[in-house]
Amino acid sequence: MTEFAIETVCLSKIFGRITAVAGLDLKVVTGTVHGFLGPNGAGKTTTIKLLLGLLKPNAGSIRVLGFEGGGKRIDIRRRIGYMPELPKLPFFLKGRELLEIYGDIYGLPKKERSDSAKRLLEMVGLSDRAEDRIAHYSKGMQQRLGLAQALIGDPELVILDEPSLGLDPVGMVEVRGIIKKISSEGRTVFLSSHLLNEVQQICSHVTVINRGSKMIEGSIPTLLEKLSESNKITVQLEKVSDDIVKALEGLNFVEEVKREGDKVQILCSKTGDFRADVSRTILDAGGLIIGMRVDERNLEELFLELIKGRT
Amino acid sequence: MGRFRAILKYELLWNFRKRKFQAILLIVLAVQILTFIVPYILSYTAGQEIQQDPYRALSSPPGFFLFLFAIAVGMNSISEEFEHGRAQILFSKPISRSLIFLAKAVAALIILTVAYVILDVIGLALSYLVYGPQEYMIFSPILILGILLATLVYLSIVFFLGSVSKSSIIAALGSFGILIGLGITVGVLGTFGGYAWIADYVPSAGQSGQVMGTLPPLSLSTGTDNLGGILSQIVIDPNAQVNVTYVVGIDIGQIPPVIQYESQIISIQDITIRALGVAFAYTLPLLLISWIVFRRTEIKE
Repeated sequence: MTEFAIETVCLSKIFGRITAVAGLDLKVVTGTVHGFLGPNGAGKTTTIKLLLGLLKPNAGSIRVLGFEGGGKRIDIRRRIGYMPELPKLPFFLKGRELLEIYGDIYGLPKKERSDSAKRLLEMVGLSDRAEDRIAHYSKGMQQRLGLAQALIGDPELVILDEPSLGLDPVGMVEVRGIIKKISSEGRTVFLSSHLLNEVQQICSHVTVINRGSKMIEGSIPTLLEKLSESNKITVQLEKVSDDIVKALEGLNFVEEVKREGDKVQILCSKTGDFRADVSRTILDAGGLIIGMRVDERNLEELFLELIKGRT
Repeated sequence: MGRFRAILKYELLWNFRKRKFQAILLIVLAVQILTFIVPYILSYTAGQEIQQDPYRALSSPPGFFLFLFAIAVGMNSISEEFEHGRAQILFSKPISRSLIFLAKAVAALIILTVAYVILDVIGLALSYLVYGPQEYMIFSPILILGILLATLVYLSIVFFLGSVSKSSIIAALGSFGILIGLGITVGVLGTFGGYAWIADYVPSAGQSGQVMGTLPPLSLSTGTDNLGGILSQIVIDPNAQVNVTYVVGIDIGQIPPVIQYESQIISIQDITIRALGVAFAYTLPLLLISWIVFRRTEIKE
């Protein structure tokens, strides 16, 4: 088994004047649930299509499951399951027919095809609608069937593009449950999303991209640790003066000081507990502290800052 | 084999469940039945006995029907995979695009064969009932093969437009445009320019003729649309001669203008070779281009 299920080096894709993916280096460790985060238009779907061979890169290399070229090769596609964003399924087929036809493409024998279709429909909660045409399925049901078809042939790598898009809260919880189940079976899951909460709940690793470039990557605990290193301290004062703000800005761990009425917000650039230093500095500058709060930034704030930093 | 079978099943289910296809099949069936029943009713009401025709069952459906079938089967087959975004999932499966394309083409032929067999069986039965005992009914498979080849010409045009444009509407309307455009061009060039022979080199009914020595006279068109009739005729009598009549010009100096005709005797063998050659000359390059485009298309949407 290779160390990385997905590995891209300097991957680029250009559509006319638009650079959708710009020199992306991506590494997805085998056996992990890897979140691929980014705002709309960041290049997530384009990257996924490049991995699957649905698009041809302008530059860079792709290795999927240890093989150069990724999804361009049929034998590699045999080991990948894929659900696109808002999957468009053949509406003229019944749910069971779809899974059996795709099972045939994967070379499953008849009995196995039928059993597999039954098992997957049960897994995604569509057993009672197996004989209905997909045209009569709700959006949520189509999403779940899209997930089921991605699991035909027992793939080692499952690529899910915005699996919760368009679902109601109940549907989102159900889909997350299914993804957790998939990952517990030892598969590598590569999941694109713009929902940080979703990624934080399901994924062990994450890569954040914006405008086709990687912003940050790592395991969720490492990223959260990084986040805790850059805290925000809010201090309520009797009166905020220019002297206090100036004194705080002079501290070597302070990145930025914001005034908001009788409060100052201090954004720290370094790790540690700076409450004592902040108190002393304020008192020395003649201020009177009424209250102090340390706010840890969450993934969402970091994400927004990263995105903002590049726009 | 499983992969091919899977796509074949996918296509067959799609087509047989398609309202468009069901509607066209029903319309053509209705017209087919009417072409037998109406003359019968007219003869009956006029108190005349209908003239016996032992070759009636060997006539091809009109070219426009073949065209309609090609549109119904082919207009969505390639383009809709892209148009509706289904290609994203289909192309991510472990199957080559060439095999998908081949399965789609084979499925189209199977569907057309089923439709034509139904039409032929009804045609045979009605021919027997209305026009009396039929000769050469054993050659029905040849007739169906010819009709299939004739439809394949139109199908390749529809596939070509569908794979290049990725739009079902363009595939359908574009094909209509080509058909109408060819019809007008051939008509104008034939009538005013003396180029009637062009009709034999484009997908059309071609020129009209009569198989010599048959009683009652057996008419035979020479274009690709009538490949069914042409193939049947060469199997029945490989040495048959056909008296082909064609327009050589129009004398607009007279009122009303006088259309000038000439006739030529051509062997059925020459007609067959030319019609088959023209059919393949359109079908093969168009299918080849469609296949190349289908293979190379990137899934952007």
